[in-house]
Amino acid sequence: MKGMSAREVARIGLLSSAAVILFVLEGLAPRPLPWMKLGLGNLPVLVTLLIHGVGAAFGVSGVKLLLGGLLSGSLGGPAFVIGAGAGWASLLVMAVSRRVAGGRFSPIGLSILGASTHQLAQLLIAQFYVGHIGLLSLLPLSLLSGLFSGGLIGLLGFWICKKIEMEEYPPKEPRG
Amino acid sequence: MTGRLAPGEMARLWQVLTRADLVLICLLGLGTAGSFLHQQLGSQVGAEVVVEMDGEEKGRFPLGPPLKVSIEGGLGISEVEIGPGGARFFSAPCPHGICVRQGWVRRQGETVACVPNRLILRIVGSTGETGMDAISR
Repeated sequence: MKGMSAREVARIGLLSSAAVILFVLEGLAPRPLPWMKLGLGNLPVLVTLLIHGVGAAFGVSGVKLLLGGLLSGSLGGPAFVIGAGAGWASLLVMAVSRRVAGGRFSPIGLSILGASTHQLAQLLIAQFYVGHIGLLSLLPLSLLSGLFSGGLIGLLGFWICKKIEMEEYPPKEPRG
Repeated sequence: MTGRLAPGEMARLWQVLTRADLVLICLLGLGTAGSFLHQQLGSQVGAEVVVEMDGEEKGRFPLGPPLKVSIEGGLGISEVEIGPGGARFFSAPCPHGICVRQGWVRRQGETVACVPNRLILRIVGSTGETGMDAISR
């Protein structure tokens, strides 16, 4: 990656490792309902997208999927393929809508878009594995969980971006 | 992230959310409600459960007298419990057990899929109707 400062490289590395750790830890936690997952591993990916752009975000996402897949032992299995396909589809939608909408979506809106895409792509890819599944019967739950998890991840991502921004460009001391 | 935000500004959610965000949230909310209502009101309780593997039917049982059947999938044996109130995966050899946790299904078109073991439970009407608008393969 040309033209990147050591600072940026270090931060992207940190974000990648955070993504792997969150992904693996979340995989260990019991899930309240099938198909429902907060997607904490996507939080660093969202932050990377917002601060460092699409290329770096795909990099962080790739590291998360590969190392996370290795550590959780799901590499190459159906869950891995579904997660990777859905993850990259959602990243693509977030990047494109960010470019097209040009700031009309806040990080929360972007994240909700990404989470919903993730849910839909997940259902679509799962169909290739099991012939067909009742897409309609899982749709309400999927959309709702995308709305909530996307909103939460977006809010957290916004906070983190804000923190990083304050550190990079500290606001001037108030006068008086 | 261009443009700096004043301290404390981000605590206020309504200042963060843009109009496009709100439209998106409303659309998704409507989509959720719509698909949920469509599912609940538009479908009836089914009569039979079909067990499929890779799209092929492996068994078909009426939702009647309580019954437990063992079905061989891609990984091993999944147990399916059937009763008058529906059907469910009782046990499965898959690593996450998502299919078991999904619990009972009873309405036409409702499905439980076990991706690792390549098995599907599907509720159909007595004539084999799935109650779905369309099935894509």
